[in-house]
Amino acid sequence: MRVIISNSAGLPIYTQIKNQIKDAVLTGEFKEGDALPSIRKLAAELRVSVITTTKAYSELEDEGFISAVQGKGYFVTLNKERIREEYLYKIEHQLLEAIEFAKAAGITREELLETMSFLMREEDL
Amino acid sequence: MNAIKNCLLVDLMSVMSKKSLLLFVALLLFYTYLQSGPIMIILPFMFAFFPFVNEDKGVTALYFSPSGKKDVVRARYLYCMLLLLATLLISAVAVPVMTAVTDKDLQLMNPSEYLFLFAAFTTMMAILLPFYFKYGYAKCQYSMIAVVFGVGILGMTIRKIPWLSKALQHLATLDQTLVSEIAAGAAAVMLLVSLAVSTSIVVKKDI
Amino acid sequence: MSGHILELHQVRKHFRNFTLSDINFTLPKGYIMGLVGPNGAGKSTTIKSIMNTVDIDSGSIRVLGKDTKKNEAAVKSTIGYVSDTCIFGDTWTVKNVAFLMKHIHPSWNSTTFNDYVKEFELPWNKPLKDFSRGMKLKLMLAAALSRDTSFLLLDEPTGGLDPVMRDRFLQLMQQYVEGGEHSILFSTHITTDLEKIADYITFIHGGNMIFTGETEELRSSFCLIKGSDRELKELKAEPVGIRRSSFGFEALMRTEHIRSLPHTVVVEAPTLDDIVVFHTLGNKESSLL
Repeated sequence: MRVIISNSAGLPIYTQIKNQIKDAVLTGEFKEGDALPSIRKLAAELRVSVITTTKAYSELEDEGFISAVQGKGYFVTLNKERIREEYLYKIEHQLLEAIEFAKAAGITREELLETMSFLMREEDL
Repeated sequence: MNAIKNCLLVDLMSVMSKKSLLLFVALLLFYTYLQSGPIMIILPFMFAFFPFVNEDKGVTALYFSPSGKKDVVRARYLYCMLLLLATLLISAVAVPVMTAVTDKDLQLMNPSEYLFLFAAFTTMMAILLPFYFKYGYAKCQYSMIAVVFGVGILGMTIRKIPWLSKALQHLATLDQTLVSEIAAGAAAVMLLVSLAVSTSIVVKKDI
Repeated sequence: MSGHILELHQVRKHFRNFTLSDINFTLPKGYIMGLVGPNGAGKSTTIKSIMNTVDIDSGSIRVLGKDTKKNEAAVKSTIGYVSDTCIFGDTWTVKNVAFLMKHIHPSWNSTTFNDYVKEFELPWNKPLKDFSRGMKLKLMLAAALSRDTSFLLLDEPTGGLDPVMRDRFLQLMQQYVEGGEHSILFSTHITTDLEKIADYITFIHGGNMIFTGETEELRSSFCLIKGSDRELKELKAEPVGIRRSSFGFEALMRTEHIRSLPHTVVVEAPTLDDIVVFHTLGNKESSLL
């Protein structure tokens, strides 16, 4: 797994860690049941404080991406419902961006929908 | 006990590491060769304050040894006494050896002379150590010179005061064994009082 | 026994021209705490109080539940101490230090020490008075890490270290707490090192404790604002500290005042450095307005 921490990203470090682990799960880099590095190990590797990694993991746990097994550490749990929701959120977000662009360029609703269905045909959706 | 032993080791290291131990022994042998006598007291005196030289106010063992302030002080007193003991032991061995290998005829000191030596050294330590603990080496290094001058001035004053010098002459006619025992006993008591004073100084002190 | 490695309760120490007062903080097992503040804030005094080399006037200090005054020797056997001034004799060599530590500490590990001496490239037979500040620090660090301790107490440990060694130092610190049983308290005025790895921060200024708690909490309880002189006049709340230039001003505010700020000012998250610096600058200038 790759985790990159940026000091100039403006996001708190724990959020950066959380998002990147989430992406690794969503893209399938992490499979169900995969073990994650321990909180302290991850902190030492990333040169961040233990409290920071603890916070990232506990939020991931709350969101259903990972779960703690007493005495064994953290594992990836593929909560299908959860991931579907996460993807839907991403889709909405990006479509919204597309709509903003359309507005800015004066592209009509019909044109936008047409582009959308053309792209979907190309991708066999 | 372990805590004191640890501090004592630290004190001894200050002498060992200066590579002066060899010098110490060599000088001692030399002096012994010249004249076996009270002059040898200079040697333990020279080395007594070594641990104060090296360290910040003489008690940095507190930062790396599991010892308390009291332990450091006790160890320092023990260290000074060990120096004296080492001096006396070395001279006790060196004198017969010197007599055997050279043409000089050296005499071992008699027991009361040893006791006088002990009394003199112990009294000096009892007076000086609390000052070293209180003010540190840098401020106290001149005190040694002061002591030498002090002894000289004291000697001259005594000679000028008739009744005092008479009393001293009278003391010399008394049984030397008894006088030396009293002097040694008094010095030992002084050392214990000094130990208590130094301990209370160090316990209250911020290092 | 509590889960705390270190507990300071109402610690107070008076000097002729400086008073450290009401220092209260606790450090749980397995975490790193930074003690920050400008020079002369009382960081060293606090650390020396824990070592009992400074005799506190009132309050209590406990290490692993034991009072440091009553159990001096027992407490110290669990502490590894590193300071910016050398704790070993000037005339000693690394060899002498190894000899002493081996005889003083039953848990001393010669192999570990040898490895560190090699890694830090320390000469075995050179008297310490010929060592640079960084070398002395490395030696003290090697000595502290080569025996069983449950607590590292570090007084300005990174001052004499180059950037490469500072990085290695931080790595060693994190490895030390990785098992979850050991803790570290370190004082520093170079907060950039600390910012990332410290779980907790205790901030002292002028002998008083300004803050103790999680690092993120300290950072989020202040905000840094930048604006013009006109906007400065519109400030309703008193800033903690302010710096003015001919182009405008920068000020540190408590986050609770963020709503009362003029909309035009730029608001940023402060670094630990900003927080320390602005507390030192104070708001004298703003009261002159």
